[in-house]
Amino acid sequence: MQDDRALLHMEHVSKSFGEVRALKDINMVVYNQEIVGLVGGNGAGKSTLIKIIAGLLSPDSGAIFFDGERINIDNPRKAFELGIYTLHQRMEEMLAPHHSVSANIFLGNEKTKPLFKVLPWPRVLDKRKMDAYAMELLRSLSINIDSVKRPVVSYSGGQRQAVALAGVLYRKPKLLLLDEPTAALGIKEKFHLLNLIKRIGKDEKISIILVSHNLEEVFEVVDRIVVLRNGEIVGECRPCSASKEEVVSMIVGAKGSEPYAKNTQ
Amino acid sequence: MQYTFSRVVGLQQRQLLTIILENVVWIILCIFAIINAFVTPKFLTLLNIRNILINASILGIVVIAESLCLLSGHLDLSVESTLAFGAVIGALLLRNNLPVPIAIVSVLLSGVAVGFLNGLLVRKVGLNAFVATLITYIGVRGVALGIVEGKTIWNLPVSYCFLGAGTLFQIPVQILVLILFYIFFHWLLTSTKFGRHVYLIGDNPVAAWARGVNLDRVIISVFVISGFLSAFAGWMQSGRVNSATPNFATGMVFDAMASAIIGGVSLQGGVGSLPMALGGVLLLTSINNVLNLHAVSPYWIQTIRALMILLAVLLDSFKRRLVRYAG
Repeated sequence: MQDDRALLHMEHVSKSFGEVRALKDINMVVYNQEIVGLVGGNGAGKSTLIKIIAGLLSPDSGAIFFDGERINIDNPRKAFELGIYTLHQRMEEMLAPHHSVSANIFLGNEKTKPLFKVLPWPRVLDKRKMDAYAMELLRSLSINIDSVKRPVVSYSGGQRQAVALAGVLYRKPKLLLLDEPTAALGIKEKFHLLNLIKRIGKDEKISIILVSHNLEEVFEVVDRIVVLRNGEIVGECRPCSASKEEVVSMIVGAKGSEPYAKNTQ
Repeated sequence: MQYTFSRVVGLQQRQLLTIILENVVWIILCIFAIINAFVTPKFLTLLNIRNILINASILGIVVIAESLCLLSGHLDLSVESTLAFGAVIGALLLRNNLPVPIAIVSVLLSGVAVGFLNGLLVRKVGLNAFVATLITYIGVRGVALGIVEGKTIWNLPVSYCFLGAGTLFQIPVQILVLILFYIFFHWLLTSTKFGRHVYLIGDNPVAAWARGVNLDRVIISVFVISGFLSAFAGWMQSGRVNSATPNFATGMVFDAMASAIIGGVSLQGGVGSLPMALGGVLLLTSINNVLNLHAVSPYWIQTIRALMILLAVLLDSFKRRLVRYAG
């Protein structure tokens, strides 16, 4: 399913917030078309790591390589140019609630057409094309939205999350960061979204980092699990060769976690 | 309560109700006009309507400026000071025998400069928009007072006054300009990428930023346009009264905000539209007009205005609740 070339490679990445060392010397690789699960307890540094990759935070030290090139992601726009997109845990924060589904999908990347056909400028929004494209995109992801013109507030949490995901997929990402995407969802919606994630990982040929508290869903979806504790990577394993108990013991730092980490290298 | 509400009223009816609430200003304005056609003598005459529109034109242009800022989620208190500053700059240059075109360009550039300063204070210095524009609100009028030492400058050239006092095909130029500006800026807000970004930033700045919208560029542009429009209104005002004083438009920022809010522009940003804000301007101006025609004591006008704003805000919160069901 995955190929062996590394898409993202982090070397000795550290980040502190004042006295708090959120990340200590992180070395991590994500391969092409691989789904990596990032797990750990509260304050383990999962979200910080994701934010650094997404360009929302800058690391204090260390190097990040993407597609073989050393990069410096210091704002979200730069991450987008590279093809790194994020879906945050609180999707409310990442959508404009009073605007239509279509406007949210195309947020920051609106399609335009020339106002007068013969002149290159001024350009106006091509609303019809965006609406049609949004509808088609949602349908291809089997997301149930009856009208792309209705404001996002009028839809449920699961539908909103799906809209946020569609908005990201529209941009053809190389690396998709999902920060607890199912945290606010009901059971049925969660199931639907997980299936969606699994499917797009295969169909769209993209790498995904899935951050989650929920081991059930991580085991369900990912190819490889990376465990963070107190800002350090304490182990990694494959869901097929490790049990949930082993991963839990790595997360909480119980004795005997180190051998498991070594076994799975 | 919301639950029962959504069950009692069907979806179709709720959608209809939403449409009515979206356009509530114009409906109130129509009802207001029909009632006053009977009770107020001379209200529905061509001359009086012309009067209302002339009175609405300067406030109307300032309201475009204010609404742009409000839609992007920012307050601009400095609009009225920029208006006075622009007017004074233009008059001062003309008094010193500079040609009219140079004076006009300087007026507009002074507005752009104030707007740019606001934008820098908000985006680059990181001040809250209220604080930043409070500084320019006080400071810019202060500069206007300082450069002419509080005096009024009279007797401006006729060509300079054309915008504020001239007519074109018997229609006052200011009314034409008002209409053109509303059409243009409504188009800018609804049909261009820039306009859509203004709305989206107002609705959720974090989302816009995380999706790669250049907040600095959009917000500074909004303040620059706001300053430009305010100074333009200053040019119009000094043309109308053939003079310029640093005390122009004192307190107009509150009328501007009141109009925008009555028209349904949200103070939280991202919600509202210019045609509705224009409805707010016309309603506010017509109420003043009717009170004048009935010779109501001007001391009661403020109270009536306050009640209107209260009503508008209540309607707005009702509308917000409804949108969740109908959309």
